Amino acid sequence: MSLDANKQLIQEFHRAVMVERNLDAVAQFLRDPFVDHSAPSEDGLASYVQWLQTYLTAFPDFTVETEDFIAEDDLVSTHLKITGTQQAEFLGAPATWKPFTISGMQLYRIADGKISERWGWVDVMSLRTQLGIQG
Amino acid sequence: MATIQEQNKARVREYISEIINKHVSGRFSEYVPEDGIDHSAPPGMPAGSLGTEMFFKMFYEASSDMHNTILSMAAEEDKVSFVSQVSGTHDGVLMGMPPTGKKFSVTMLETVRIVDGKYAEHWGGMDLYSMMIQLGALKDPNLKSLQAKYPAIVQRYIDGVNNHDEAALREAFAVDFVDHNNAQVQGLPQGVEGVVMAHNMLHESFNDITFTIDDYSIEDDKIGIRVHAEGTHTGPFYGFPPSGKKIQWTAHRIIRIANGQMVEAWNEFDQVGILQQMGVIPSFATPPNPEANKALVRRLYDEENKGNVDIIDELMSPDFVMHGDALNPYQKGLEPLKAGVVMTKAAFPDLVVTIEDILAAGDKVMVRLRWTGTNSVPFMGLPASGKQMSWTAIATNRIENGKIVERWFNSDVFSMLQQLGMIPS
Repeated sequence: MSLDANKQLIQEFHRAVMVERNLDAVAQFLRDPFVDHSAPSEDGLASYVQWLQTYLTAFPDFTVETEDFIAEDDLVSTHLKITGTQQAEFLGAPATWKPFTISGMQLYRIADGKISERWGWVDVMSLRTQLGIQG
Repeated sequence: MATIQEQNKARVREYISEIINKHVSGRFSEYVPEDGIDHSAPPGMPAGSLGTEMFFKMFYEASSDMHNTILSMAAEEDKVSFVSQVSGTHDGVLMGMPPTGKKFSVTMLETVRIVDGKYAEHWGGMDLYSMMIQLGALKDPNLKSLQAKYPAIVQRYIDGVNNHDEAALREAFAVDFVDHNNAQVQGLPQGVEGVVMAHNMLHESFNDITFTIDDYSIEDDKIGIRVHAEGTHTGPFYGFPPSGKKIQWTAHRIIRIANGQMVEAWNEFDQVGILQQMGVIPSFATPPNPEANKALVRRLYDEENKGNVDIIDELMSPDFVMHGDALNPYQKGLEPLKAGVVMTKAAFPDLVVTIEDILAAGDKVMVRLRWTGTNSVPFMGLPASGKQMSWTAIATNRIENGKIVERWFNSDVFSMLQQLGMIPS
């Protein structure tokens, strides 16, 4: 696949799962086996869906802007700008109803037209500070 | 001539290997311009090389062995994206937090835009949140579901010991496992290798060793277990040749779990008890005194005959256990026993118990007893017969520290019930 095709795959993936919030679509983008380095478990797909669900439940209004793509070989990275309001329990803290804006980054490896690996970083420390979560 | 992307990636690798991993402080401006922009920096952080220097100096101070390993890199146009693993030991002050000695290993995702070999712009960062959890400064929100798995992880270790299953031990213990009581066996290396060696030695000393978990407690990232072990002394133990004896001992272990594996543990076990049972060092317990024990049992029944029920509290342990029969079923403590004595004495006011035989050995005293009395008050739901009755029993009493702690008891209940007319003669 070309670098453009890889970038397009990630764009479509983000649109389906983060904008349209279609969690059923996750499986068609991920290769089996899929390794989620940022939520290690035996079942990468399940842990990715669980990770996403945590955010969708706590921040039902969350928006993700994909700001940049860098691609080489089988890798595609993106920066994310994430906004939302905490409306349910998150990291053990009850809903604060506070809004936040944080940055994040994702790095994907693509094989056979599907995502085979993911590393993610979300600025959880800043998120905690903005929501006022202690301890 | 390498492409600009190859040059930029080489520059990132050089920055990490020559500056970050060597903990160099004074050369950040060679890689980050003064006006470099960090899009992901926390508010209040100075821009450019100054902010970068502040960030890394904080980590140099917090961890003397902090090391960054690049896992994957992608470059396009003037940007390089990369993921790395940052590992180290928290042996210095980190953001006001005193050193914990704990190890951390977290990922770092970054994108940099490189202009003339310097980081003009930077996005991304280190997974500080996971680091704080690993250092114990923040609670893991998934702790409850993680803790639910602790007993199974520890059971895997115990099964590994009992089945002499090295693969199970390697599954349960982290490669860099730290045994804080490693010095209990000299010359053992740390890590899972030391664990495997220690258990091979244990199987040589006791080839039928079995450990059983009797109790456990879980808090935060630790599980404490209380175990007992038994095995036959079939090989050298601490240099003492096999005695062929069955040995039993107790132990406690507090284990810290991380990433589903045992990462460190503190251990106490009854080494001295083991050596005493092997007969290589003398016992600390006072040797049993059968004559004194016999005197104690005699005194108990003498005083009971005088109507002194309180003697039970004086001569018997509050933790007393009765392994009885239909007349005196299994009981713990002294209250049921005292109630029984009072009730029988009420039904047979002239009741006398006589010791007809007494044999003592070790910490045990066996007595053959006969009770004789007139049933002048209703008993066990029957009207008073006015008849004299007599029944017998044989009991074994175990004495510890001058008190009866345990009793095995068989009485002639059958004949007693016949005399009462409750079953036909």
